[in-house]
Amino acid sequence: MNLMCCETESQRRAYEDPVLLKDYRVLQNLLQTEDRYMPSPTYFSCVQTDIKPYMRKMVAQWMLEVCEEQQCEEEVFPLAMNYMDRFLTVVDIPRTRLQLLGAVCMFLASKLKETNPLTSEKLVIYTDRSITLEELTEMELFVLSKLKWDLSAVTPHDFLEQILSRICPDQERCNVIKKHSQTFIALCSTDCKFINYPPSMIAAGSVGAAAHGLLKTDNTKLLQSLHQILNIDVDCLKSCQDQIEQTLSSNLSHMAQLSESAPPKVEIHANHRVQHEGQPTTPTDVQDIVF
Amino acid sequence: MSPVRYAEYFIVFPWSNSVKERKNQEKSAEGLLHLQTYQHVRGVNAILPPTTSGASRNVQTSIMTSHKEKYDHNYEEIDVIGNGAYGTVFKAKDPRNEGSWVAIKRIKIQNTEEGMPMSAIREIALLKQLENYEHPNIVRLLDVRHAQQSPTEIRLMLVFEYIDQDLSTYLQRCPSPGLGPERIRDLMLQLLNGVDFLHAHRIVHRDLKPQNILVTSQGQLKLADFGLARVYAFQMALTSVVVTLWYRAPEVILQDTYATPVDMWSCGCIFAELFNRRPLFCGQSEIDQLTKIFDALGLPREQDWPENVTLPYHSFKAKPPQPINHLIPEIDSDARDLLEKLLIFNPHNRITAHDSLQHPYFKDELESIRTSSSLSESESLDTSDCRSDTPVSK
Repeated sequence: MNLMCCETESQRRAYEDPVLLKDYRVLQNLLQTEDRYMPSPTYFSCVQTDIKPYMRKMVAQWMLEVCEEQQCEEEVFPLAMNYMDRFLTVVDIPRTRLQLLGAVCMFLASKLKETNPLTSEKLVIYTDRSITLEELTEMELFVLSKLKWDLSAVTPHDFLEQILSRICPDQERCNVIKKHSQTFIALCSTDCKFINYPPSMIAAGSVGAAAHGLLKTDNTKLLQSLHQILNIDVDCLKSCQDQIEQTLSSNLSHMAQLSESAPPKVEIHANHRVQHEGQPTTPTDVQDIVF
Repeated sequence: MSPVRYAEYFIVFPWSNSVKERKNQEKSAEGLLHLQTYQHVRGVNAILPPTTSGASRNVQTSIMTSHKEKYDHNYEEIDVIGNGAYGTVFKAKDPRNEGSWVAIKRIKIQNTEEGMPMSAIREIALLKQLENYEHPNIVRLLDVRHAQQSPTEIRLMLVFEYIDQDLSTYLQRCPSPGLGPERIRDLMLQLLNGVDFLHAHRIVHRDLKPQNILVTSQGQLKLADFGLARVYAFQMALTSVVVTLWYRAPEVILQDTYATPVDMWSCGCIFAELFNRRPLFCGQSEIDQLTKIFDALGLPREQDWPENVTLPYHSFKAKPPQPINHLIPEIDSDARDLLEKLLIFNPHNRITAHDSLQHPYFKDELESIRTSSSLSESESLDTSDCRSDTPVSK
């Protein structure tokens, strides 16, 4: 017999509980706890002897793709990246184990956030069977002990809800901004530049970038209210927003370059994207958000 | 029972086996190769140069040592507190802390292909998250260890602070005529304070009942076992107490969507039990539980009945509410008012934990809340502490 989660009711979505959204202490507690779960931004130089930033990016993009295709909750991907960064902050591993680590981090994050978590079998298949079920479960235990079982990390998505419930009385527009912000958050999680940005900053920067892109107007007023909500300096918010916009445009131009050099592959890519448009919960393809 | 030392909580990974290790590395390398091809399709122009296996061997060795050092310390198990199909609860001594008492929940987990069960991961992550606050009304989780017992079994060990009684035992042991009004008020304040703390951290307990509320010998109340499935998977196995409906909010029984108000309902039921020293609503089935609730509190208004639930409103007979004094003879007016607000049928109108602490019933004790809880910190927001340095800090 094994310990099974028997929350049969949990298929029902929790309603927007005013106790959880309007109580200012919830946001305060999130701001207080987020630092506890920050990885060290210097782990590439101080801890890792083999792994380089670009390898993290590759594995991250693979993980994002898996999460998208499995229609995971939005939080799963940034949470998995948080586990990965925190693990790499304390343990030096060879590059050959990085994909295994990525798979384990998704495995854990989806167990924490999903009603029906990713199965080990699916994860093994996504690595093209380069890892075994046994390795996955062994590594899971190892990651758990290295993270001290402390998995309830704060993600930018926790702040996104808090921010939007405060700045966005208009539900309709709110949803568009939310989707775009979620895409930016995923983008930030894949990029090493953002490892040392706290989740609140990423959330605020993403909301700023989303509003800026959608409205095409100066958003000083928005940044002001974000400053009031999160107590983050306006200049920092602005710089985070700029970073996100730069990252987006460099990713887009990179894709454009590739499309010139390798036309047939882009075709595959385009088809792939069409399939994704039927999935409203996964607006994570960068090309979907060219304004 | 004689003391037993457990050395098996060291984690041994098969990586130390060099043949297997090499095999694994080769396999993983293939995986990354696949990733490269894949990334090429996705349009990322990056490749990983091959690695030297020597470097990684050293890495593995260092992992092993650091791990062993950290866990090189054992608890001395003295007595079995509870036993069940999934595992055992021990009373044990912690040699690090001058032999102070701890309660160790040892859980056997059949190692399935899905690895560590979701329920265990969630409960422990939650406890870890809260550990930092050292809230006076939440049980301390001191340590988590695990060991791969065999290829098919993992042992998980949760080390909690030792508290020798739960609220249910505390009430049973209480001599007639029961707890005095001051004691009840103090326990209630601590209970709501703990629940308010959980809610402020976005945690809904969902299974509050006297069996998972602990009371220390100094009368300090602590909440244990957060979250429904994650705990009662453990709890059920360990005590073989049938999961009770008695503290369950009507919206949970009706299987409507639910949130923080479910805990407030349970607090109401427990509040009444502090006076009566017996449960308020002892239903034998879900329907019986609802019938007992409506017998006492009256049938709710039809407009408060949730939509899209399996039980229709008209399956219950209309009843007037009984006066609360009939249910609890010794209750005073402030306490009665709070109880009525906790036992409101419509969850949207039920009092919140935060508001309940402001209730006149506690007016004399509000000072002590401010000094002992998370309330004080978070209410006095220090806006001058601008987080301008955050992106470069750490």
